[in-house]
Amino acid sequence: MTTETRLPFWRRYIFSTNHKVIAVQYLFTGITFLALGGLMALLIRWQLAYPWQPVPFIGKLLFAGSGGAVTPEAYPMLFTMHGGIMVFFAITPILLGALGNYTIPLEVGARDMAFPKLNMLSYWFLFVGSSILLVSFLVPGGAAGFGWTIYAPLSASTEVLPGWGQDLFILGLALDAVSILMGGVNYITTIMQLRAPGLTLRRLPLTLWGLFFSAVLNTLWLPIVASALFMVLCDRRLGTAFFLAGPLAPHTGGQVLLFQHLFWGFGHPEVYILILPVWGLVGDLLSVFARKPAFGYKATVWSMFAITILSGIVWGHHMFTSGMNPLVGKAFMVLTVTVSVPTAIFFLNWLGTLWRGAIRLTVPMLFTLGVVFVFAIGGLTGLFNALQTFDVYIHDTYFVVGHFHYTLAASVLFGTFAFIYFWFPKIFGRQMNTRLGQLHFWCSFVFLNAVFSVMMFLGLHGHMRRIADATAYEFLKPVQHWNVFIGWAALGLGLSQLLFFINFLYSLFKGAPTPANPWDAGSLAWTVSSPPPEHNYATPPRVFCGPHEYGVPSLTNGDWLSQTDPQAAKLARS
Amino acid sequence: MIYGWLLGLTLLEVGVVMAGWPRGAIVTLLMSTALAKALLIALYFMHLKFDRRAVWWLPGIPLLFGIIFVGALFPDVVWHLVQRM
Amino acid sequence: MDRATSAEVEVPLLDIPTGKFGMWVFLVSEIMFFTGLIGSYIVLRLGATSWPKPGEILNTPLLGLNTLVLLSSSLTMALALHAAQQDCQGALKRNLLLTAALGTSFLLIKGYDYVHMWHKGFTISSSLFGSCYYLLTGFHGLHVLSGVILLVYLWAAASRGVFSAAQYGRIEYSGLYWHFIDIVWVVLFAILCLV
Repeated sequence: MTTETRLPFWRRYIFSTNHKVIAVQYLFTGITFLALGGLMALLIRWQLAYPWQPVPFIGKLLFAGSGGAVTPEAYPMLFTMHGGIMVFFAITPILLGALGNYTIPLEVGARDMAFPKLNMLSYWFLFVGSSILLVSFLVPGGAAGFGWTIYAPLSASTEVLPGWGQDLFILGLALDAVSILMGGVNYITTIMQLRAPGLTLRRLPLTLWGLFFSAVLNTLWLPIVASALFMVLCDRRLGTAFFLAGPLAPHTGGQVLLFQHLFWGFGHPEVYILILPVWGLVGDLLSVFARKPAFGYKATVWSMFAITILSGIVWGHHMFTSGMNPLVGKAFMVLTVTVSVPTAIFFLNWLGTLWRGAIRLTVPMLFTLGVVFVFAIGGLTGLFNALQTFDVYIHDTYFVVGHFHYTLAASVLFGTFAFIYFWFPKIFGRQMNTRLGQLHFWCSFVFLNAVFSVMMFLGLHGHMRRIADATAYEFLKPVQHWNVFIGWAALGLGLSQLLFFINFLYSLFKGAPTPANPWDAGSLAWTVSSPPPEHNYATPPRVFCGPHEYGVPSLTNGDWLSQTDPQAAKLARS
Repeated sequence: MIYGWLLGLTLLEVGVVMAGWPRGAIVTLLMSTALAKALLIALYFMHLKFDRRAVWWLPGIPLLFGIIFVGALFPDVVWHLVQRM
Repeated sequence: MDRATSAEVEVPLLDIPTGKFGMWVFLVSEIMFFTGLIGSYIVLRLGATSWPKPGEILNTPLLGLNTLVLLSSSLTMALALHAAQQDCQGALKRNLLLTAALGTSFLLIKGYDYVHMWHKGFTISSSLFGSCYYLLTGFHGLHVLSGVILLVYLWAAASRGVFSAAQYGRIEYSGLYWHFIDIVWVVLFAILCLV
C-alpha cells in the first residue's frame, strides 16, 4: 500500500471527491436554505396575520420602498421562493444530497460512490444553481412570482412578469435538476452494483431502499420537468408559444394545459422523492430504538416499490379543476386512492415494529415517532384530496396547504431532524446535546401542529391559497383571527428551530466525543469509527445478516448482532 | 451488415416521401421503418441483443412510462374531448 | 440461498461493469428528457388545427443525407469499439476520429440548414412547427456536440495508449451514448421531416 500524499486544503475540503465531504457540503447548503425558506414563511404568515402592516425589526431592511410592509408585488415572490427554496434547495440537498451521499457508500460497504468525480460535480451544480437563485432576488423586478409550480401562461409570457428574476429561478432550478440527476446515477449504481460480499438486497437497510427508489423516480421524472422548463424559457425569451394561446400567443397551436401535465408529471413523483428517504429512515430508526427487527421488512420494501410505480401515473390529481377531461380525472382518482394501500401497509409495519419493543426515547427516536404521528394525519388528509368530488371544493384552499405541509413540513422536516440527530455522531465524531434536542422536538411538535391543523379547518371554511389579505373577502373576515393565531404559532415554530441551530453549531466544535456506535445500531456504517476513516473500509466487510438483528433470543452475550458478526451465519433468518 | 439495412431503410423513407405516396400509407411505413432502424441500432450497435435480458429493463422502463405519459395527454390535448362533450 | 457461501460472493444486481450500468442509468434520464420533448411535440401537433406538409418547408434530401451521415458515424463507432476489443490501436484511433468528423459534419450541415431556413423566414418563433423543429433538433444538436467533444477526448486518450483489449470500457460506454443520440435522430427525422 503506497502512502498517499496529502492533498492540498482546497482538494480535501472544497473540491473533494470524497462522498463524506460532499455530503457535509450538501448539509450546510441545505440547512442555510432551510433557514432562508423558513424566514420567507414567517414573512408570509406575518402578512396574513396583519395585512399590510410593516414587518417588525427586519421590515425596513427588506421592503424599503413600502416602509417595511410586504407589498402586493412582493407577496407572490415570497410564496414562490418559499416553495421553490424549500423543495429544491433545502430538503433535496439535505435528504438526498447529504443523507444519500453520506450513508450509501458506508452502508453498502464501499470505499466511495461509484463515480466520485461525478459526485463532486453534482454538488457544484447545486452550488451554482442556488447562487443563481440568490441573485434572482437582486435583479430589477425581483425574484420569481409565479408560484413554485411555474404555471403557464403566467410564467410563459413576459407581458405580465417581465423581470429576469423569473428566468433566473427557472435556470437555477434547471441546474439543480442536473445536479440531482448526476446524484441519481451515482446512488442507483452504487446501491445496485457496489454492495459488499453477503449484502443481498434482502439485507439492505430500509434507508437505502428509500434513497434508491427516490433516485429512480428522480432519474425518470426530472427530465420531464426539465423539458417543460426549457420550453417555458423559450416562450419567455425566444418568442415561441408552446404554452401560450389566445391573445398572449404570437401564433396558434400552443396548449396551456400541456405545461401542467408536464409539471405535475414530475411534480407528483417529486413529493414521493422527498419522502421516500424519510420512510426508509423511519423504518430503520424504529427498529434501532425499539430494539426489534423491522416488522414486515419485505412487505415494506414491496410497498415502497409499488408506491414508486404508482406515483408516476397519478399526477392528474393536482389538476382536477383545470378543465381536464373528467373521465381521465376519474382514472387518476382511482389510481391515487390505490396508493393508500401500500402506504397503509408500511405504516402498519412501523407500528408493528414498535409493538412490544424496548423503546429507547432518544432524540432521533422522538423525531421518528413525530414523523409517524404527523404522517398519519398528512397521509389520511391525502385521501380526501384524492377524491375528485371533494377536491373540487378544497382545491387551492388551505386544506391542501395543510395536507402537504403535514406530509412535507412536518413529516419530511422531522425526518430531516431525525437524520441529523442520528447521524451527527457518525459524521462529526461528536454528540449533540440531548436536553436541547428534546426541547427542540417538543416545541416544534406543538407549534407545528398548531399551525397546520388550523390550516385544515381554514381550508374547509374556504380560505384560498396564495392570497395576501384574507380581510379583503367578506366570508373570510370571521376567520381572520385564526390567521393571527397561525402567525404567532409559526413564529414559535421558527424560534424553536434556533434551539436546533445552537445545538448543531455548538456541538460541531464543543460536542462530547462519541464512540463508534453510540446507538448500538447494527448496519455496516456503525462498524467503523466515528468519524469514519478516509476511505471507509480497508477491505470490503463481509455481511452475514440484515441490519435489524436486535433482540435476538438465541444469543448468549448481548442481545443484538452487527451485520458483520459471523455469529449471524448460524441464524435461522436470512 | 446491419449498416446496409439502415442505409437501405433511410433511402426507402426519403424516396417514399419524395414520391408522394398517400398520407396514411406514408405514416404507417415511416413509423415502422423508424422503429426498425431504432431497434437495429439498439440491438446490434448498442449490443442489447447479446446482453442479458435484465439489461433490457433499463431502457424499457422509461419507454413504458413515456408511452403512458403521452397517452394520458391525448384526451385533453389531442382529442379536445372536453370541448366536444 | 446457501447461507455459508452467501458471504463469499459479490452481489451486484446486473452482471455488467459499473461504468456500463451508470451509462445506462444516465441514458434512462435522457430517454425521459426526449420523451418530454418529443411527447410534447406529438400532442401539440396532433392537437393543432393545421400543420405544414412534409417537404413544404424542410429540405428533405439534405436531412436525409444528414441521417446517413449520422448512421455512418454509428458504424464507425461500433468499429472503434471492435478495434479496441481486438487491441488494434491504429484502427481504434482512426475510427474514433472518423466518428467525430462525421458528427461534426452532421452539425455543420445542420448549421447550414438552420441559417438557410432562418433567412427564408422559418424561425423558432414564426410558427408552432418552427418552435418545435428548432427546439427538438437544437437539443439533439447539443447532445451531438457533447458527443463530439467526448470523442475527441477519447481520441486523445487513445493516442496516449490508454485503451487495450483489457481496458476498453470507456469506449463502450461512449458508444452507448453515441448510438442513443443516433436513435433519437432517427425518430426525429421520421416525425419532424417525413411525416
